[in-house]
Amino acid sequence: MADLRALAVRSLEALQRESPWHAIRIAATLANDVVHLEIDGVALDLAARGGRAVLIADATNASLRIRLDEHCLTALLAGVLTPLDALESGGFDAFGTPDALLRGDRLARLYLAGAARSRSHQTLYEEWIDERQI
Amino acid sequence: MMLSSAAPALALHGPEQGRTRKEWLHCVVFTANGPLIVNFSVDYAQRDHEVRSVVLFHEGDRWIGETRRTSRGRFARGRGDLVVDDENGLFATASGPELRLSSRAFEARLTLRPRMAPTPPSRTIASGGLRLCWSAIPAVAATGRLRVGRHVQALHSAPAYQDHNWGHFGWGRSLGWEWGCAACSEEWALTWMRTTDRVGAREYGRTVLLWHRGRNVRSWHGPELEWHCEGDAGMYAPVFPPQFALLAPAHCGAPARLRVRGPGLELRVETRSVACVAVPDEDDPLGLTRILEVEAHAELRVDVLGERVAFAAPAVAEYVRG
Repeated sequence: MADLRALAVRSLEALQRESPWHAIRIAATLANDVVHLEIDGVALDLAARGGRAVLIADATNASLRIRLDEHCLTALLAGVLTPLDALESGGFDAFGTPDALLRGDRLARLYLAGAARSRSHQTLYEEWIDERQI
Repeated sequence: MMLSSAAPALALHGPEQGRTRKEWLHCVVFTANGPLIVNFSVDYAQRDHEVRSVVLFHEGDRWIGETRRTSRGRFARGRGDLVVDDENGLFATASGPELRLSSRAFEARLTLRPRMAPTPPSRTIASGGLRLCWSAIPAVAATGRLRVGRHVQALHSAPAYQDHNWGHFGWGRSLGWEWGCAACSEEWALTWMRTTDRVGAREYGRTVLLWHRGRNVRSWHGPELEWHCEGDAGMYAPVFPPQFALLAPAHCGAPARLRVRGPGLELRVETRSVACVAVPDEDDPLGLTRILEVEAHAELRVDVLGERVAFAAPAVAEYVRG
């Protein structure tokens, strides 16, 4: 099964290459902040460096912390679970100030809209779904 | 007979308009288990002329669907075929157009034999210089093999519909439509179309067309038609591609029914199930256009050829809103 971190890096690179409008705004929205994602215990810390969104190591200052289990993430991506359902299921939690949560919502919308316009994300999505035999 | 023979000119090209030029072939095959809806399109706005395919099948209470984007597709306008890859597309063959699908969910080899000549292209000119041309073959016989999931069907002259659309518009700009076709019988074919702005407030044209044995026997246009989308289907609509569901509103927004009345015409199209095909808007980098594909039931009463004819038939409708 593809390494989650490697998949995330490929996704960010594809976004930068194929949806630069969205990539630039994701970096601007992150500004000096860090978003901490934890998917089934794998930590991914998203930050802006040199005008790009990248994954960094050993972040300690994340204002927004999101925890997802992989099943929940896959169900969200497959369109069978809404974010509200995911919250209620316990497979998805988000922690932060109201401002940080709103920033997280904007980041998610920018990311999803950019991915929708990026052809490489079709391949990445199919890899993800195929490996999980959805 | 090739669909493109009805629209050979395609004289809309031009560098100033190329940014929004699109072209697509749309096909509906009515099978005993439900309708198969296939759309192959070319987006000339993409540098590599991206070919997209959407395949949907409605069976029982669920939709099975796939979408695909590729830079390796090709559209041979003269031959009338639109090819996604060697195994997927609408291919011009010696025995006529052949619909081929090959994927995990779908496999098909269907010969599409037109029962009539394509309609002359009709043109809609919308605000902002948007243009859309439509030429249809509403009576087609589909023969061959279709697999959906694990279920295989052999089709013998199944009623089908095919059309060819082209023009200059961008998803998310001011153009929407309400279209549909019904599988009346081997002898009768029906299609309808209303073009509007993206919220349905401003109308550019409306038409209902009826054929009998390949001949257009009645046409209704413009103000002679009363056209009402009624109610709200209020149902869950799966989104294709599924990952777009996170961006699309949960409420599908399809009407519960369409009623059209005109001189000697009563048409009622009841929505039974809805799937949402989501397409990224071209001007709004965060927006999506939702193309609502509807499995429907049509009832038609019409005065034609000196008698009153009534049909109740499976139908497919499409509602495009911003």
